[in-house]
Amino acid sequence: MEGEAESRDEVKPNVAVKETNGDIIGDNDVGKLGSVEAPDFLGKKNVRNCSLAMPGSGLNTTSHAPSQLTIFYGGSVCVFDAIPVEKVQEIMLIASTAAAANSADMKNAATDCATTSPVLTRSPSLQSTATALASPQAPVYPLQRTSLCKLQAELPIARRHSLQRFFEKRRDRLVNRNPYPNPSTPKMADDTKANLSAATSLESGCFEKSPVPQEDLQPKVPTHVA
Amino acid sequence: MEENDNKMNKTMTSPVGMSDVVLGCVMPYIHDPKDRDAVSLVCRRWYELDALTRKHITIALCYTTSPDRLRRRFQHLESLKLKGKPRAAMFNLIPEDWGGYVTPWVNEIAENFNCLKSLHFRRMIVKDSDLEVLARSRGKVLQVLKLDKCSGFSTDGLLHVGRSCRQLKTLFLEESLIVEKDGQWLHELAVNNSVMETLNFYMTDLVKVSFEDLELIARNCRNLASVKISDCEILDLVGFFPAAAVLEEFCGGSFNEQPDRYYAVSFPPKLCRLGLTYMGKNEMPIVFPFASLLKKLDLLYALLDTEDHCLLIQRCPNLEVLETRNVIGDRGLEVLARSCKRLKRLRIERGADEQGMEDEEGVVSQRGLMALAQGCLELEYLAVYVSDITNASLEYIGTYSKNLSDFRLVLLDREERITDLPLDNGVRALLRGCEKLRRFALYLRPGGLTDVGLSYIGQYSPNVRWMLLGYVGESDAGLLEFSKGCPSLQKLEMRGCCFSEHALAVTVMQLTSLRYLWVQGYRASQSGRDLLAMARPFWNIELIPARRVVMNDQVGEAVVVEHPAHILAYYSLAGPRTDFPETVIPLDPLVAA
Repeated sequence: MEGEAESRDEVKPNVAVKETNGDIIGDNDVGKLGSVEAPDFLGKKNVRNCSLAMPGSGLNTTSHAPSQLTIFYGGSVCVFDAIPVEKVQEIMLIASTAAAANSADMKNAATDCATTSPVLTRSPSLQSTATALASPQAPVYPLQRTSLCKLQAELPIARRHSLQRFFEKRRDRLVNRNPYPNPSTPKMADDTKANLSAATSLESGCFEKSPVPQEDLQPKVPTHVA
Repeated sequence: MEENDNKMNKTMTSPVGMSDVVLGCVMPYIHDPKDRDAVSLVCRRWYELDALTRKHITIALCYTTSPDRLRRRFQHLESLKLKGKPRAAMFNLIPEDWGGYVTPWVNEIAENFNCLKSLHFRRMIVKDSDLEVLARSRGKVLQVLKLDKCSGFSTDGLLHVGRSCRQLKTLFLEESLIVEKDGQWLHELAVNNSVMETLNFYMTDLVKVSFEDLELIARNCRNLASVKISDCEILDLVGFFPAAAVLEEFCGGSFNEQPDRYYAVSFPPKLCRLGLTYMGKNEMPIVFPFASLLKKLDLLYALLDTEDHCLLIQRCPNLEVLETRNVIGDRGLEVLARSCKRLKRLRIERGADEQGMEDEEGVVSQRGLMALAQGCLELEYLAVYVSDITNASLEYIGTYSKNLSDFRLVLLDREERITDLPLDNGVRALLRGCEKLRRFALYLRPGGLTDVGLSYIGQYSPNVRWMLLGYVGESDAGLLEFSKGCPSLQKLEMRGCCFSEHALAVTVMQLTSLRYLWVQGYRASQSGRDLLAMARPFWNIELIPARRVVMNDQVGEAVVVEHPAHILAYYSLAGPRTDFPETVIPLDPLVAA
């Protein structure tokens, strides 16, 4: 959940900056670019931040030619003409299995799935993306796997609000008690209890007869949003 | 005269040959809502008698009916419970302004419900003005007021309650989001009330209250049996505890001083339900002198590790209810199984994920569950977050936990490899063995339960009325099989499942008792209109489209959180809502067509 936002922002390609002569890709440059970039691209294992545009899917296509494949990668754009659809499927299969292999650790699933399944750049439960998902020609298995893993990333097990609040307050107590924690003893050390008021992150009230003046406490702002 | 009486008896005798007088005497003894429901369907006269004599109504979703309809049928109601937001609101999944406003209900109560003594609002939006109206109109007779996980009001609203509700025996504010202006409300309560029995502002952030007012309440209210407060230094309660002579339940408080200072605190003699916030291993011994009396222990907000749990639990042979986090560990569960033979309810919540915040031993798995099942045969309620699971452990529960009526299992997602998946056979064994099961929740991961396993749930849960299913099944086929069963299922919640709108719609139409559906995470149709296959009279369908919400995560950093879309659908006699916020969209078959 936490990592998702950042990786999403990286997905957007910055086309204009990296071009050889500053032009947005037009048809004239297509062949040249294709021949220069292709081997590098296909050789790369890490396909983060890569958008694949499916021909004719209506998403992310940059031209009208039906067998044209456009690949955005790491700030560059490659356009390939006359790619047969089976080849495109192979390329997508390679890309998505490479991504799936990288995302074996569930914790990173959020980042990987978000960036490597461009046809799922929006939540599967939004209507428009279902078109690409339902495409009959694309291999179903890897997409399905990433869609499930994407689903899991977008729907992490939700935390109960009351407990979330408790964890925040516990963390505040630790921070206020021991601003320079010893990394080897992360557990609460009872023998280092300072004179603290109960709800350190909230204003002092009658419940907290704090002997420590308020300026000495550095309360953390309550961090939850209801 | 006698002739007339005979005539009257003849005309007013109900079909079963019982006179109304007799029926009027018998009916007040029928309490179960399902029985009452059956009674009211026999004939018009029985319906009327039920309406006259029914004392309590629970409206599981406030939008299923209207205040007006309630008044027309049950004008003499003494006790009302209303629920608003979907249960998912407790997990921060529902927009705050979703709805569930008490205002129309309060206005109706103020005007017409003259016998109402007990009011319970759960997950609803309450305003200060509502509390003022309530206090003004019903303050003299109100005995029970529960604002349970509510929001939208401040301590100003509570002032009205404190001033005007002098007969209040129960004031319950647990987990409500209350804007705190001052602690005057508790002072008003202390000064005006002498009959309080249950006072609860646990898990609110009300800290401007004064412990002197608490003491005053304890002194004035001779029947004060249950007090649950927010974080107040325990040492400040040295006057309160002796004054609360008949106190049985206490939760809340806080430990901020040196541990040895707490050994001087003496607790009331009848105290048997306890939960001390921030209690650590060094303060724990203060509980030992009366641990053997404890029937209920709340360790959710304590600071104990696995070993501490073992030390404490083994001293509590009479424990019936335990709530804690998974820091209890398998070892703690083994101690529990050995020591607490009377255990009826166990809730094990998920601890923090942050490094070092919880005990390394703090994982619960099949090992703990098997010990628990064998040791605690009286278990009725079990809710647990596990890190690992096997079919065998579920089979054990099916074999031993014959009294289980409520079972909830969440498989945490930290561990990549789970010992024994899918859980098809274990789930089947559990459902077949636990014949009293009424409530069931299973939250797994892809691969956790196959379509066959999902069909088992449908097949083997004849009495289950509520279910939460997360990441179960593999395809629509599984859901469709499931929906052929579950004959008693009234309320279904699903999350993270792979089912299509079409399958969901068919499911709704097939589940014979279903009156409420909530889904988050599903396969949307291209047009978004497949859901309309479930359109029918009296069935409201609402969507909360996908949202992006800026929130603070566990370490306090702002992140953008994606909230996938929700579907909420329910039977209603009151037609579609009229108070939708922007985040909620009704699906109107006529408009969408």
